[in-house]
Amino acid sequence: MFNGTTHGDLLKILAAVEPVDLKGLALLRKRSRQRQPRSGGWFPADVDSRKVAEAASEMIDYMHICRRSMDRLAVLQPVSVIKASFEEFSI
Amino acid sequence: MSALDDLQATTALLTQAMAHDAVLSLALAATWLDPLHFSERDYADAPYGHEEDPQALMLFATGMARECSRMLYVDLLEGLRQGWTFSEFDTAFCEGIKREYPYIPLDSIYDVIYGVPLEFYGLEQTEPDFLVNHPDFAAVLGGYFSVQPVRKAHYLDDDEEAISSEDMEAACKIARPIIDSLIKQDRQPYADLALLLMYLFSISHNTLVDYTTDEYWDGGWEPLEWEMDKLEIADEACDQARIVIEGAYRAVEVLQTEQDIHAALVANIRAVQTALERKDSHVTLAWPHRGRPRRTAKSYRRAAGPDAGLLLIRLCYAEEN
Repeated sequence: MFNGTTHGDLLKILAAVEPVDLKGLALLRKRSRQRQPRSGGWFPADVDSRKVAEAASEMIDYMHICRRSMDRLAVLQPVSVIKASFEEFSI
Repeated sequence: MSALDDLQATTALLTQAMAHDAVLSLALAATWLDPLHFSERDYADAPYGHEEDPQALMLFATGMARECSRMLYVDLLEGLRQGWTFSEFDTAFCEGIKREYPYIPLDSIYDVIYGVPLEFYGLEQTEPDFLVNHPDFAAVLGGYFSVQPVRKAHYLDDDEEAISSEDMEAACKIARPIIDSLIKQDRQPYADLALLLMYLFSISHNTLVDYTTDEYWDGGWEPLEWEMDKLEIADEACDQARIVIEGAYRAVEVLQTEQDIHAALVANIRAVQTALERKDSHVTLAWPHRGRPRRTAKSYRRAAGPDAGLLLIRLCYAEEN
């Protein structure tokens, strides 16, 4: 599975992953562009509730996916490293 | 004044700044759209022992909305952020559920703990109360199927059957072929008559129609969980139960007012009885002519009146037959 993929390659792959474009984020960005410096609220207040429901639905599903991925990562079996040498830590 | 202005502007400035950072904006969006994700208490656990605690009930109900209706979920969150009282939350929750599942009998948030609320219409034909509470149905059993009360209700002991179970079973055997024949007519008022007999003998295959509340819970069934598919099933079952009961009452009126149908039912019951005695499985039943409806909707859902009864019979029972 990891044949030919180095630690550096893996980092590059992860760094190149585009952020997920969730509807909720788009609504927040849209609101931040409409300058409302004295609105006083943390969250957009004048968005159509159907759009908010869609965004909430997507967010809940997204977080389910994230949680599933985390659960899978948590039980990943360790990979035996047979050929590596660690001379600098010789005892 | 200027300091106050700055303070008021802080929230907006912070949210603007957060919107430009991928991680912070994701955190802000998640907090906005799904704060229950971060709840320390397990909102999905029914608050047994805290049935009177408004906070526990609101948390549980918000969790139910999260599972069953995202629209209701965001409405509740918005209301809570605006500082709704418990009473306002209660009203909004019940109205929201009613909007999407109009036949679920939910009147108060206090009812949500014990699963999706259901209303059972089942008849306890052998109980003395049956004769008192349902004289019209008892008259149909007695008048057409010769299922007579053992004694008058007020002379019965508490543990005594008002109508014998054996008589009911024998009458049910006669009713089944009659129901099959009524279903085949594919028109009213025969659909209503079929619904009446199914209701009277508790053979509609709809738990809400065939069981009483006590029978259901004594049967060991678990409360119906607040999940979207279960709510849809419960709503449909409640809708069907409503149609069966309405049809049964219409059919009683038909038997009282339409003499040819009354006579046909008497004759057909006699014919089935004779066939059963002769162990003859073939019996031809005849019903007076009635016209088909000119216009027929496709679904019984949210239909009303005789059309709903006919469609229910056509879609749920005729195909089964």
